[in-house]
Amino acid sequence: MCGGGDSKASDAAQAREDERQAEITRSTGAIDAAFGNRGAQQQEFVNSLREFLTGDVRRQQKVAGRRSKFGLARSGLTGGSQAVDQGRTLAEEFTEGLLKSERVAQGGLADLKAQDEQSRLQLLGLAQTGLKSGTAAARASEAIQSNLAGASAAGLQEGVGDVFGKTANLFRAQEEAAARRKGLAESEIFADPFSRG
Amino acid sequence: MCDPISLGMLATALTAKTVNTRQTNRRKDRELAAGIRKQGDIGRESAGRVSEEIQSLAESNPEAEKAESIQGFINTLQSNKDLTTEAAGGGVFGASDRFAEDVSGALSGVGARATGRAELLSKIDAPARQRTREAVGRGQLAADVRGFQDRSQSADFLARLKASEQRNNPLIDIGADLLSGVATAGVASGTNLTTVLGDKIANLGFLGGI
Repeated sequence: MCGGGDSKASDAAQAREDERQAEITRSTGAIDAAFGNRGAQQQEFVNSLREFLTGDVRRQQKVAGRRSKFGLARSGLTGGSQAVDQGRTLAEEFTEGLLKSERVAQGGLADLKAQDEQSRLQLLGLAQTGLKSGTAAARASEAIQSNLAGASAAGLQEGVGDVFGKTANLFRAQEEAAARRKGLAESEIFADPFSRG
Repeated sequence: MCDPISLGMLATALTAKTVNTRQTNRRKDRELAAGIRKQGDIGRESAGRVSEEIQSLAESNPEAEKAESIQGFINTLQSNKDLTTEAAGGGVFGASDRFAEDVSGALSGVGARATGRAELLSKIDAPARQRTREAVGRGQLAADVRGFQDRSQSADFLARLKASEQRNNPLIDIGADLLSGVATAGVASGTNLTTVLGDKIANLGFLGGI
């Protein structure tokens, strides 16, 4: 400004820019550290989700196992080849259920990590942009608004569903067959006196 | 053709104008520097607000949401306790003691399982709620940063306006222009101002001439 290199304005601008760069470096480090410490929280989330889902699978397995045992007994198939087949299907469905629950848990963890990463980037954008550009701050604000709607435990909503679908149909058929047999046997008992008469 | 007076007048005019302009530029510089310092103050406020948010984020955990969530689950379970007992087969009139014991055992198992599931659900739901809370905080931060930016832009505009309002002292400029004009006119017309002025003074009889 004054031609002699002693401009107060450029000195102030230089000082401000140096300060700003230092602030950006410090903020970036602090943000990275804040999100870097989330491992334990994320691990607790995925462990809980895994336990919840596998607990559901185990509960379904108990119910299905009980129905299988009684269904086979009603049909007189205990110890037979159908019992072996049914047991194998039940075991396969159980392992598939476990795998599905693990998949859902991993998906939930991935969603949570993605949300954290998006949040980290938004905050970095806000810290780095600072007073530099209004449009970037506005964009970050809009992104946050859209994020609010998406913040949910997607994994849990999906769940594992009905794991023992195939064997459930089998049990139902066995139970219905047993009921039919029982009905026939009873009708014979009641029908006999009249037929003789 | 050395005319010391003309040269002196030109030099004086040039010096006066240069000093005048230099002082104006210094005032502009001071205004702009003050504006930048003001922007710096606002920038520091903004950085402080960002730091506050980062600090809040670093300390953020899902414990509050977890506690709130589990309380909600427990309340729901407790308010439906009668129906749970009924579902487990309790409350049958005239049933044996053994049956009542079995129902009680089943109910305690159901209660323990429900509490365990409620704890798991609260641990699953809490991180999502925590992130929603944090997203609200970031939205507020973005709004605050926009506010700081508006203030900074205003400070910048005012500083530029104040700098542009700084003008040279017109009297000095006019005086310098007059001096310069007279000297230039003298030189252009071939008039030696030193001689002319010397003659004039000599004619007046003062000092006995130069």
